[in-house]
Amino acid sequence: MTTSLSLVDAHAGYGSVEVLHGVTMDFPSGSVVALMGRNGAGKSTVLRCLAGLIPLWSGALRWDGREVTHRSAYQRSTAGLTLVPDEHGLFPGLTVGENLDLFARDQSPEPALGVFPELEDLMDRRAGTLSGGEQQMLALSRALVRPGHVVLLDEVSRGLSPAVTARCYGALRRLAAPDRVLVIVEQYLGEVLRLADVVYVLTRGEITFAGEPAELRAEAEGPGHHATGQGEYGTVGTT
Amino acid sequence: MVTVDLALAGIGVGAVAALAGLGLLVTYRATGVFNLAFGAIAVLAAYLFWEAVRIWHWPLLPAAAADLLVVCPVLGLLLERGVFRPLQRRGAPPAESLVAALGVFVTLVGLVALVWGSQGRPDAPALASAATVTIGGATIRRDSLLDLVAVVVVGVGLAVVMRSRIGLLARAVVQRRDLAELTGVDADRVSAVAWAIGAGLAGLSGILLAPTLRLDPYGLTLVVLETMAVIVVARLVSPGRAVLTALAIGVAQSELTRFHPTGRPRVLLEALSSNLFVVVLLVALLALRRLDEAGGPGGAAGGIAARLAARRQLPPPRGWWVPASLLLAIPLLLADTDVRSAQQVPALAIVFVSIVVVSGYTGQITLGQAGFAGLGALLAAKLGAGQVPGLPTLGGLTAMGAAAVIVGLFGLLVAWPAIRRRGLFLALTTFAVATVVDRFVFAQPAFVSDVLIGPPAPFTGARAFYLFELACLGLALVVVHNHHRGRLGRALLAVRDDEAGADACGVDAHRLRLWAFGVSSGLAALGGMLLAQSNRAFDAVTFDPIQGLVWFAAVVVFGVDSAAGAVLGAALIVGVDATSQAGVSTLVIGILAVLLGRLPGGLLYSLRRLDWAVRDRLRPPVSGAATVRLSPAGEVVKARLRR
Amino acid sequence: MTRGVLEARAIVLRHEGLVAVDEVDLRAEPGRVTAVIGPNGAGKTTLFDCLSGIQRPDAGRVVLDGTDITELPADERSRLGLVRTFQRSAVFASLTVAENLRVGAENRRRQGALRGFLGLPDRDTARATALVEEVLHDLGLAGLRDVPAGELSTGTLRLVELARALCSEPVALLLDEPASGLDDREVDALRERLAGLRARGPSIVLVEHDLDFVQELADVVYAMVTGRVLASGTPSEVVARADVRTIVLGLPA
Repeated sequence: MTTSLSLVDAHAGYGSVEVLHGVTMDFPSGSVVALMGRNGAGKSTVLRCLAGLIPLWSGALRWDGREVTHRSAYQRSTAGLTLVPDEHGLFPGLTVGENLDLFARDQSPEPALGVFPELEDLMDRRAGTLSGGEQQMLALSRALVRPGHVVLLDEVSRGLSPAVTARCYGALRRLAAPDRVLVIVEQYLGEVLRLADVVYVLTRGEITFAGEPAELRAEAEGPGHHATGQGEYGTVGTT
Repeated sequence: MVTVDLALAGIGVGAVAALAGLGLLVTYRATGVFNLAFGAIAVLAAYLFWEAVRIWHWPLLPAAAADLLVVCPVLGLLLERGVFRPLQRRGAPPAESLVAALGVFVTLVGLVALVWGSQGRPDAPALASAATVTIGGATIRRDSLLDLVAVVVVGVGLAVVMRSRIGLLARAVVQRRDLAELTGVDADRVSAVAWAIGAGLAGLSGILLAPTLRLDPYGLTLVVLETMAVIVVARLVSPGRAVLTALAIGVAQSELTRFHPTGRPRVLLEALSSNLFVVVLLVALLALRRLDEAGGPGGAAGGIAARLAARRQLPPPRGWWVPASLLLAIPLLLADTDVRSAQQVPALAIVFVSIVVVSGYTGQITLGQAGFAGLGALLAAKLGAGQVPGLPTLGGLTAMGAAAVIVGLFGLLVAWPAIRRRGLFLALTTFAVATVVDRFVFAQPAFVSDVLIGPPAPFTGARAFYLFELACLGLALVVVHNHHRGRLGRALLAVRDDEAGADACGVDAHRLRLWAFGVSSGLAALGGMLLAQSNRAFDAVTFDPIQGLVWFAAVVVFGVDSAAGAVLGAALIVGVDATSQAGVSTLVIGILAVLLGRLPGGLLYSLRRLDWAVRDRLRPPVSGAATVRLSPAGEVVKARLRR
Repeated sequence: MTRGVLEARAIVLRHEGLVAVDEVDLRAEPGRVTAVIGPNGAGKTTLFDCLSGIQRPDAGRVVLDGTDITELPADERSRLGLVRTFQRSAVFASLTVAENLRVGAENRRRQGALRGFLGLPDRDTARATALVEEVLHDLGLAGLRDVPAGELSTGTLRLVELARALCSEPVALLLDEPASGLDDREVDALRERLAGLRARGPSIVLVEHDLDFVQELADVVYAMVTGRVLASGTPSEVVARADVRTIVLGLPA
């Protein structure tokens, strides 16, 4: 069984400002796709389009060959798509336990607690009172508890210490499966390139690089090194 | 010392207010839409109940059940599905939902007035009689008991539901709708249920209130709207606090009747005891801290009305004033009676452009122009007749000028504490002010009896007065124009489009917002004077707060920042009502306001934008630092073509 | 006479129980570019809000050229020469590019609404017009002068906002993510422009995620994380520190 997504010539934006200008991306089944680019390039917008939170102005989205461009976010989530957004990934007025309850629905929250045992002690705390890092752990729990077939993660490592980030990426590595697609958006190069099979770089709403991580590293050391805005600081392998 | 009997008497009203408040709160918390239309749903339900019981002779309970368990929920579902969900899906800003709710409100009220007439009826059927029953030594009326039982049942029912799984889902949808959908919660279904419940509760409050007041499209609606006081005090968050506030105010109103001072204070006390809800509403809106944060959309930076205005300032078509002047001159050629109806046009136009100045140019929603208009009318007449203590009799024209200035200053005074509010809460504050003015001034015989109103000398002939009005309109348009050009015009639009950005440029946004309110109230006063003078009487109905809501909706429909649109709108409204039936225009405005979502910027702007979009394509492309994207019209069309 | 020395002294701002800005000290001097870096949520924009007057700090002071401006509202600070841009590009969508700039140029001094109300001609129009023209040409926006700002792309919007800020003749310029949403060419152009601006006098403080940009332009860097300043100094000093690399930049240790 496969789960593949394709975004074809997508145009989308907010209000009257177009942010994505004809983006075409493939998310093959069983792969881990990294989406990188500067702040404001449109990475989050791509994820929101995939999840159905914002409509495509033109273009199409296909899931396993079927056209899902006009399906609502609710329909996509029940079909097995999980988006962990970069902000607002939990319900602040509900307790940690209630959040996990909602995330897990009929399943057990164990997978999340296994990776983030810290949450166990916070079960009765209102989610809005947690620290930034703890909130991010709770938000990520959604992907761990019910990953579904399409897992979209927006800036996973935000607010997390390097140790917790490592745990996180370890769990994501274990999530990879032949019938699952992981799409990870990150601002800074690092862990994600070690995990990804495919990398897309988005600049001002257009794809400016699509290929394998090794190719990106090579390019990062070459003349086009502004692509991700990282320069020498972003190249994996240097200290 | 609280008298138990009086308290129990007041508890009935309080309980109904609590029901209305709960309905409004449920809809707001579950869908983010502040459903202004709940007052209209209440009135519609009350009239349907009357129709079923008095005309079709249905028994009480089946009629009530059909109304509350079928008609109201279905109406709520239709509104959610047909009006508000499309807005939600489009990601429309709260602005459009507010105007859509206002549109629904105006449509329903207009419909009720058209079908059943705007005269009140005293024979609203009551579910319980006014006979008293004695429980444990205390005497309480049956209907009050019913109200109390209803609120307890509903309150407990809601509380139980909130604690259940469904309640968890609802709370999730309320806090983060997007995330709830992403988590596999059917947010649409939750919204639909919330709307059905909200509409049902609104209907219930209408049916319970009508017997104790009157069946009256404007009056009853207003009373229901006043119950907004209880949810404002609850900061739009806490149902428990809403219920307690409602009961407390109901009891307080009743207890106030215990006191019988003589003379002037008695009048004030009587007014207070029948209008405590709206007084609490106004005080709460002015005094509560951090109301914007509690509510949510009310505090949206950038201004609600800013989103309704034109994104591009189109220059007026060349020579537009020629056909406009011709149009306005036509009545001079007509028969006397027609000139008299036409006299309303310039007056109404002035009121409308006053709304353009404050809502269109600075993006601050005002739902209270009726109050300032009425004050202007009253003050001008009294000054002209020497009835204002401490001030001499002024000549007609001087009285008008002085009244406009005084009301303008009054507008400034009222705006000063209110100005830190934004968006929804500022709108509610303006509405509360107009309602307080209506209840404490317009409804008081002490102020409105013995008022002689007529056109100022020497413009007493029909045509002469019409010409005088045109001159006033001309003056008003000059003032409005001065606020749209030059440094002041740019600064006002800057405040509207991005207040923080304006502050960052050195524009004193706070002061300009106040100024806009002052000028706008002065202009509204002028318009109000002319309206009353053309009717040769002061009629409180003309300046009813509900009328102010209709006026705002009309201005938005024709283009909230278009003075030309405002004048055209006034002419159309008077024309439609004159040629068909009074009240038809209200219905039309309501329907257009509901459809407004498709036409941001108003009717006039949308038509002109199409024209400009065509001309844009024909112009050579501009060179510059970056390519220009499609104009909004182009994108809208493009997106439509793809769907 | 130095004008444009902007200081934050022990600024603290709490929000909903969390400390958004935690005892931050910062000093920006004229003729220098001061950059604030850090991950999302570190408190950079909140710090800017305190500096520019959108929020009042719970403790600490903001000082401009020796004057304590902590209690002044934002518009007064702008008139004193402290001008800021926003992450979301706070341009006036219904005004044209030229009109946007004009708002900046003609509000250097507080003016009442009375002149406008009476229809009297505006004062000082010649100076404002000349300034707007100059800035339009400097930033290459002359061809777009009559385009309503609401129809522009993100990159151009940033430029318009910067142009408008310049029309306010700032002594201290706060730029919140000025490179966000720009492509490489535009980023290079922006860097050159800011370098030129630095030479002309105002102190420039910017929040930026683009490390290349910061490395090549900034004279002083402050690295913030969870509301605190972790390190400050020259770009090479700050970025070389291990704690900055791991915590702030998220690079592998």
